[in-house]
Amino acid sequence: MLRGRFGDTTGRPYFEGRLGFPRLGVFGDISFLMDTGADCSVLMPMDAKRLGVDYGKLTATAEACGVGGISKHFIEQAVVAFTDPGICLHIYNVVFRIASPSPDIDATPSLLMRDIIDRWAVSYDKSDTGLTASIISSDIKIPVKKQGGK
Amino acid sequence: MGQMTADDALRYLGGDAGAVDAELREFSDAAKVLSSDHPRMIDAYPLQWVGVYRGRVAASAQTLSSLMNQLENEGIPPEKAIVRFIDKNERTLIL
Repeated sequence: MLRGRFGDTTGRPYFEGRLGFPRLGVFGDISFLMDTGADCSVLMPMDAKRLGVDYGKLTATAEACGVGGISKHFIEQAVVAFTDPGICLHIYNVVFRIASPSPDIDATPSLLMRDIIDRWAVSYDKSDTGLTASIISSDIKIPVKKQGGK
Repeated sequence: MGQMTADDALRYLGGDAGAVDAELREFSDAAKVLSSDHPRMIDAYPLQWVGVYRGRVAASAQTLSSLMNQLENEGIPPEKAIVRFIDKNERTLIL
């Protein structure tokens, strides 16, 4: 069972995951905003900077249409892991969009889209049990060895 | 990309499964601390970028670049710190 959270101030739904870009050689932990309204996951500039993404190495691009109009993103193969705490890592091999730096989105959270969420059964209950997800499928499952004493 | 092995995936994610699990749980806990303490953050760090690591505010700055520099100077890996801009009036997002 994956455990997400609702932001206390905004109420936005988040799942934390570890994201890596094999070709770029960078990885890091991301608070992903769960967004069922879009087709692929997006790494936003704030998190790209944290991970140390070198925009000079990004080449493949694609357009996307949103409420603000058409935007261009970079495309990069990625691996992303979510943990069923203390039990198992669930890993997905997916294509990520990487948004170009812009003052308009400099504090916007990275987005977790349906390419991964479609493979979960999500329970969204702000009043009681919170935000959780049961895994329907993942590309790679790796058991977590229990640490001594924990 | 061809078939990825578990070892490949862990290499790209920066560690063994136990380490990734532990670090993600720590990161999630830090996110909750930042979120639940937001009213105090607004008072203490208005219109600033803050970096939270292992349950405490490790750095604050007026720009994201300055914050990144501070974290690195403190020996804190930015990719494992929660980073947020503390805004009194949270922007409405339609994504």
